[in-house]
Amino acid sequence: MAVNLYLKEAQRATLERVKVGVAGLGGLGSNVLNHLVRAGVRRFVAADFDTVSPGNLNRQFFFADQVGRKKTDALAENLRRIEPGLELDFRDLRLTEAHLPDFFRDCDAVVEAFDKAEAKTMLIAAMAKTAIPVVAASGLAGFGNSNDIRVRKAGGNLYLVGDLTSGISPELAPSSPRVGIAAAMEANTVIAVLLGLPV
Amino acid sequence: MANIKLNGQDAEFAPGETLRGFLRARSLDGDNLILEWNGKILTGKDPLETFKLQDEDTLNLFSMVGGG
Repeated sequence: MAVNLYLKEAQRATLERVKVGVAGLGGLGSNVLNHLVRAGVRRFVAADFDTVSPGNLNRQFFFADQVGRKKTDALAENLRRIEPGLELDFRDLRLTEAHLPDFFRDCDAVVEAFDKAEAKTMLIAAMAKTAIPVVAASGLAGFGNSNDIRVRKAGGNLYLVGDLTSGISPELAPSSPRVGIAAAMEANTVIAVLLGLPV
Repeated sequence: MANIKLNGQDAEFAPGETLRGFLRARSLDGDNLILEWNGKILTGKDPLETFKLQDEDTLNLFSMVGGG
């Protein structure tokens, strides 16, 4: 049975056909995937080289009994508890310039969900050579100022989510509410682009 | 002098000025900057020193900061 019972038939057909790429399975990526799966997307390719740590549990879609496990394995398990029929191509891999844009070549949209600014810029630069829509995030640390987080069409194939200023620092930690807002906005932007709706 | 729209505001530049030169002169050449130049997405790794600004160009700058 489909997980989203409230889609129009044409929307369901589109979301079940498309493939979405996700670069990074941390605070952004794990929560983006949670939203996309519940929205009705079924096919994904993603990469992350990390394991679940106790410090991830304040914002990432993992559980205490998954600490120490590969994020690719743990997240696949969690997502299949929502929708067992998912097609998940999750690779235990640190994505670099050498992998891009080829890694996402058959995707209909790509989500940038890295934590390092350098990696975010690297992915945007690599994917700018393609016509594949890219939804990236910048500026989501701390608490408060919810309305500063927004979606910008940045030109070409790029959409940017965030406030563009609040990076992670010793004074500004990542939190579930603000990372969650950004992740939900990234997912919502992907769905809008895929269904031809206003972003 | 000629003008471009920089993040929606008028900004002057000298004829022949390159994109790299324009950014450096204004201390805008950060490491993790995304540029939208006349609708095209660029980063600091692109050969910005070869791109010459033209009157009425549009340039929007976006900072990528860490967190995810």
